Amino acid sequence: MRSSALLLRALRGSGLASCAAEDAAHKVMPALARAASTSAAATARPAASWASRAASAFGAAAALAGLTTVAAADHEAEHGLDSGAWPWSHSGLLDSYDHASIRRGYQVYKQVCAACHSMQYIHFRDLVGVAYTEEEAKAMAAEEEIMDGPNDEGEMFERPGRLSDPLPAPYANEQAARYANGGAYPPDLSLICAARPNGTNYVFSLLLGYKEPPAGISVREGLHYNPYFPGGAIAMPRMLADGGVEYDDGTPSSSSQQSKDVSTFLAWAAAPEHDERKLVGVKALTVIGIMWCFALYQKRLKWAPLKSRRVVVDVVN
Amino acid sequence: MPLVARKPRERDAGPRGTRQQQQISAAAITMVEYTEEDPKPQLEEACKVDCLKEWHNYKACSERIKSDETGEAHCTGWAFDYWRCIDKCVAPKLFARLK
Ligand code: HEC
Repeated sequence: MRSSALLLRALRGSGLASCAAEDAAHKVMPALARAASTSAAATARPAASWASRAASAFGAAAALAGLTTVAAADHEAEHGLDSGAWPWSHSGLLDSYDHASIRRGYQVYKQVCAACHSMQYIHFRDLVGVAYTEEEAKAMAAEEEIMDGPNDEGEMFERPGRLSDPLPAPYANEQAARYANGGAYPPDLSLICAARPNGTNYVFSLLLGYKEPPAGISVREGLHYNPYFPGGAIAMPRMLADGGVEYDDGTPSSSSQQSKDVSTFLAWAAAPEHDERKLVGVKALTVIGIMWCFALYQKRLKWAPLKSRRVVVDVVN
Repeated sequence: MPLVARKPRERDAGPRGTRQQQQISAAAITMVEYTEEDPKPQLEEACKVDCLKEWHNYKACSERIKSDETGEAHCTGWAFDYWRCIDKCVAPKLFARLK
C-alpha cells in the first residue's frame, strides 16, 4: 500500500500518469479519502488500522497532487457492506443445488420480483427437470399471454406461452421500466449473481438488508437505505414481507426463507451448469486418477530394464 | 474430606452462560420449528451481546458528531463494523432455521 502510493506520487510527479497510475489511484483512494473526509468531519477513527495510518501519512501529498476532488467523493459506503458468506447448501466442493429451494425461489421471483425485473435469458424449458416437470412447465407457460407475429396478414397477435418462450418481462423496454421506477432501472436478473461480486450472498443480504441509516446519513426522497448496496441508497424498496409468498410445498414463507430461496434460484439462473460441472469434475478426476496409475505403472515397466542395467566397461586388452 | 457438592465457580459460566444453559439452548436449536415469523431479527437481537464493543463505538461516534456543523460527519464506518459483527454471528445460525 505504502509503496503503491509512493509509486503513484512518483508517476504523477514525472508526468507519467498512465493506466497503471489510474489503477493505483483507485486502490489508494479509499484510504486517502477516509482520512481526508473523515478527519475534516471529526469522525476519524483513532488511527488504528493500517489504512488510516498510511492515509494520514499521504493525505497531504495527495492533496498536493490534486487528487482531492476524486477523494472527497469517496466514502466507507462506496463499495457497500460486505455480504459475508452464508452457509449455502450448494457451496461445498461436491454439493449440488437444493432443487426444492430453486422451485420455491422461482415462486418468489414470479410472485414478487417479476413485477419489476425481467429474466430474459431464462426460458420455461430451462425449468424442466430442474425445478418443474415438463407438464408443470407447459401449464405455467400456457398461463401467459405472449405477443407474437406478424401473422400472414401482417398483424401482431397474442397466443398462450410455450416452453420455448422466455419468462415474460414486466416492461416493454428500459425507458418504460425507468419511468415506472422513478428513473432507476431494475436490472435483468438472469445473470445478477454472476454480475455482482459475491453475487448469491449479495442478493441474500441486499433483500433483507434495509436498515435505519447510521447517524449523519440521510437518503433522499424515493430512495431507501441499504448498507449492502454500493453507495447505500437504493431505489428498490424492501420487497419481502413475512408470509408474502405462497409456496406450493407449504413451507412457511418468512422473509429470510424467501430471500434464501430466491437467491438460490438466481444462483442457478446465473450458473445452471453448476451441478453438471461438479459432477463432471468428479468423473474427470476419477478417470485421470486411474489413468495416472496406469501411466505410472507403464513408465516403471518400461524403465525398469534400463534403470537396473549395469554397464560394464570391460576393456579387453 | 467432607463430600459436598462443589459450588459452581465463576469460570464455569462462559460468555454464553453455564453449561446447563448451553445445553438448553442447544436443545432449542435442534428442535427447529419453521414458522412464518422471520428468525433473522431474533437472531440479530441475540447476537447484540457479542457485538457490544462495536455498538458502543458506534454510539460514541454518534455522540461525537452531534456538535458537527459541516453536515459532512457521519458514522457509516462504525455502523458497518457493528453490522459486520452481527452478520458474522448470525450467519452460522440462520440457515439452520430455514428450509
Ligand atoms: C417495485 C419494483 C421492484 C421489485 C418488485 C423488485 N425490485 Fe429489485 N430493483 C428495483 C429497482 C428500481 C432497482 C434498481 C435500484 C437502483 O439502481 O437504485 C432494483 C435493483 C435490484 C437489484 C440490483 C442491485 C444492484 O446491485 O444493482 C437486485 C439484485 C434486485 N433488485 C433483486 C430483486 C429481487 C430478488 C426481487 C424480488 C424479491 C426484486 N428485486 C423485486 C425494483 C424492484
